[in-house]
Amino acid sequence: MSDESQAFIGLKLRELYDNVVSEPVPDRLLELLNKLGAKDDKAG
Amino acid sequence: MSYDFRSELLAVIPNLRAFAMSLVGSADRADDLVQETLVRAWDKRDSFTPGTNLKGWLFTILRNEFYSQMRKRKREVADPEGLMAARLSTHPEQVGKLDMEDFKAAIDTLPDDQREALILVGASGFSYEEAAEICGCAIGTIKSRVSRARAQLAVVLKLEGDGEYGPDAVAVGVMNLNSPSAA
Repeated sequence: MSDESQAFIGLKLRELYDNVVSEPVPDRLLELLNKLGAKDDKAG
Repeated sequence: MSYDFRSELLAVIPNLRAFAMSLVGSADRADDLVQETLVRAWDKRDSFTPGTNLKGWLFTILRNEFYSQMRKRKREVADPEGLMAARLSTHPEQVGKLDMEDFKAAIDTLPDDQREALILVGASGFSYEEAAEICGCAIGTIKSRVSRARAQLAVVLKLEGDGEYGPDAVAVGVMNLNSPSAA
């Protein structure tokens, strides 16, 4: 494979991935984290 | 200590979501997978050694969770490779015009083991060694999966093709222009 093709794939791959990384964390996951912490506080 | 662990988890969530998306392809299912990963990570947090690679640890949990779900239920789409290939070929006018949807569809044609290796090394920023640890296989296996994945993408995306288009096909794709010979 040419260096050009490889670079192109790498670029697109990162773009695709970083699009998701830059999204805000969904509320339901934030709520879950809070719940996990609360459970621990109660137990400890 | 548990509070710190929670904020450390929080910091890795965006990466976990991106990895999960690459495995399951739908945002809802990806977040389900991340949710399950967080619960499991929390339950076994005592087995994590602070100061070591939390991101790798969490990716391993997510990946194990994904494959155990896969074993429980078959993939919803019976033949994703054929389906995606069909989708790609229904737009011949777009040859040479590689937008993100096409690239996503091309990624989806990869076998699971090749796709995850490519993502871990090419996007998540893990070394071959770390990726091998996450996948529970040899470094050489990861290297060969990554290179086979790249080769298949080049074919599916017609980056190099069969010599019909020549090396210019790549430049055409990059510049997002329609190849004059494509129609």
